[in-house]
Amino acid sequence: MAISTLEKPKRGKEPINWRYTFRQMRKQWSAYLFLSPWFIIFAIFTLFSVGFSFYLSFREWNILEPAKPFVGLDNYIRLFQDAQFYQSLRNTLLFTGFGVPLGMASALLVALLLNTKVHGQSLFRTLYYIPVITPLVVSAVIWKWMYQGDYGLINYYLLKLGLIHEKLLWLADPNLAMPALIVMGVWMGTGGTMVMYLAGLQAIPEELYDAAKVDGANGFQRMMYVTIPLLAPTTFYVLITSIIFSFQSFAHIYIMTNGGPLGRTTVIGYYMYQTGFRHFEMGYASAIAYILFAIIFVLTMLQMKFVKGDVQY
Amino acid sequence: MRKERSLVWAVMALLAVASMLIASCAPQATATQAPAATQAPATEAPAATEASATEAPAATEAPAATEAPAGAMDPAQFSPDIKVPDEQITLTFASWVHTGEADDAWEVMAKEFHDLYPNITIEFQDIPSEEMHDKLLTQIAANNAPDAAYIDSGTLGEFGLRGALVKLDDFISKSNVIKTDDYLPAFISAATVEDIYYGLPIDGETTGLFYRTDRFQEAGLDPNKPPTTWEEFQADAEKLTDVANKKYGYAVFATDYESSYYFLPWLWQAGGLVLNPDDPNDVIVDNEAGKKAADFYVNLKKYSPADLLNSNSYDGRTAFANGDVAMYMAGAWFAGTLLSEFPDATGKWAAAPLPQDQKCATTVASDDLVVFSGSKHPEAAYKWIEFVSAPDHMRELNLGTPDNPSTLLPPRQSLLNDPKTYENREVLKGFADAMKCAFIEPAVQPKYYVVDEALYQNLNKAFYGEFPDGGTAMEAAAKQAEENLKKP
Repeated sequence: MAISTLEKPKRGKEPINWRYTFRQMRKQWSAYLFLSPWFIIFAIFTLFSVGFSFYLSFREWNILEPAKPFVGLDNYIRLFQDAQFYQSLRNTLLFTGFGVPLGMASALLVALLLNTKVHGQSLFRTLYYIPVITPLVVSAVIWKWMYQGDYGLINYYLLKLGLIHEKLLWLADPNLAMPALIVMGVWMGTGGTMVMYLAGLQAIPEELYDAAKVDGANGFQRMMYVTIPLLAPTTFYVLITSIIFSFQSFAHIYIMTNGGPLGRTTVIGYYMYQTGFRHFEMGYASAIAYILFAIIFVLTMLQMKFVKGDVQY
Repeated sequence: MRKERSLVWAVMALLAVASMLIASCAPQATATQAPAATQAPATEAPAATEASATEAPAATEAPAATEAPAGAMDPAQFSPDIKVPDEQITLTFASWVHTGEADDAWEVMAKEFHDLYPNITIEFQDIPSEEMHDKLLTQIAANNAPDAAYIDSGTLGEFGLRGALVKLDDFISKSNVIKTDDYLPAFISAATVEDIYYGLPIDGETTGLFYRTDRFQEAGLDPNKPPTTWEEFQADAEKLTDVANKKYGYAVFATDYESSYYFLPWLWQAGGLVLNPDDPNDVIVDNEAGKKAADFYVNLKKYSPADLLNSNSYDGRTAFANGDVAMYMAGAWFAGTLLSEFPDATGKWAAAPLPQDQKCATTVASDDLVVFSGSKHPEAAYKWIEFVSAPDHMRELNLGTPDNPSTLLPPRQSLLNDPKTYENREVLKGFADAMKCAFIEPAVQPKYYVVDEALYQNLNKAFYGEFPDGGTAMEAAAKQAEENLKKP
């Protein structure tokens, strides 16, 4: 209580601050005008939507039903008793837990290779980046064909090489569908992460390698004691963004498996779509969205705390 | 000097903002939100400015203009008691059947309609069928629904029950062309909710068995003798299946919605029902007939491409068109798709009624024309759906053109009994005859999706071997559905 009384006089000063801010803004108002298109769009499609969905999460908000009663925390309580939600959470953790480290490792590997002076360097960089600029839907449809059991390219070559003796039902086998999606996710994500690693690699001063060479460090030691520590800020950034993206996966799952077989690939994003657009329960879907937000938020905070992003020499 | 410069800046900034807004809105407008965004400038403006000056006389002259050509339509044929707007309006009509080509029957009809009622212009919103439901749902939520739409009767039930559609009974009673006793009862019940009309049935279909005559010959079966009983069906499927050579007898899906949808005809043929006719909260798929049907259905997995288990009927139809799958259950419309999209397969397939068990039973599906509650011009929108429902128009829409054949059943008895309907569309006759086997669950359960969910989830588990057989899955499904129905 004491705190709030202490704060009150401070609040009284706010209008003056605002006026000061506005005055400052008016000096540069054309700059704000230039910014306004983005800001207006951001305000409507992001700020407002985020706020409105928070409001929805406390209501039984069925699109078609005229009555949209306030239900308090019911949606959130129901969530913690929903077996399908837990399954989707588990699937998301699997997808992220395997997909993100694999994706980062492959991106680092590709970046290291492309950072050396290979022939056709820029061609390879482009090739590895193509999956990023290919529309997700196109990639998903192509991968669906490649994974096809009877006619898919992947089975064709695996059988031809004698690696398997019987066709594998990549997307129709409950135990294979998730790994298949993870592999495809790695393929999709490598290019973007690779570019960031390349930037990070190029920021490492050449002198450090020279100094290491003088000290007698071999290639592996230079990698372990120069490259990897100096890439820490990049790795940290990539880790956070990859996890966030991975948690939000939806489109390729929607196209390739529809969350099946037996819900084994129903990730949170897909479950949210199902509740919102198949069962029309927008309030419940919003509650899922907010739990997803909370999970990502906590994960990111933990990473900020425990994964050191600063360079250590 | 300074002031001038800041003025120049301001103008430039404004221009930049304006152009960016235009640039950022324009593609969106055409690509996604076409109706709402483009409709406003196109129609509202002329209506406001021209209505008084030019259109007013046009409205009065209109009858004269349309009566002039011999045999032309007369508004009195339709519903003279329903008022025509006295200013220019544009109606948006959402469908997945309009192609926009010059000979497209819908396009032609919209022109004829505009000639008859010069104040009303139809603007088509083309939405792929698989996106229709979600798209309309978002439009309704955004208070931005089209005036009228072509939707499947499942969606009609869902939207009608929740007040999103206009009740049509009053309009129908004033109409000279919509005579409800001409429509087949099965289609009427699909267009009504609790005896209130929310739509006009525009096309219908029964489900039949498509089979590959070439594959039948290869397997030593008589291509003129499709299976008529479950036993024959299973024996044929067995002969048609050669997994090593990627040849399959049939196709089943273990995916949400589809596994239950394709189960229903088998269930009904065995004499089973999903719901107790006297108590919609009693799920009876676990009785003798239900278990027998589920066992039979789940067992068909043996004759089906394993890949398709987690795929969808779209892939299933492609597999049939390519000859990988020899028998396939689908609605009459699939014949039209085969004719127009897979001309190479013509002559290699035929259609037959579904095999029977205790009795014959087939799913009927239909599409309806509806008017949305949010429409500003419900009368005009009704006039449009009434116009295309006139017998000649309905036949034209259901049979398509030679280049663009369509094979749907007109839901009017007068058309179904008319031999002219089957000219060049002989395949349609069998589907029309199957109307006598049309079956609809007698009990109405507003929360049927809860039952459906239990049904497909457990059927899927049975397909993936998590239940020893279909019958056990039915016990689990009935239990799960009844429990979930009790939840608020």
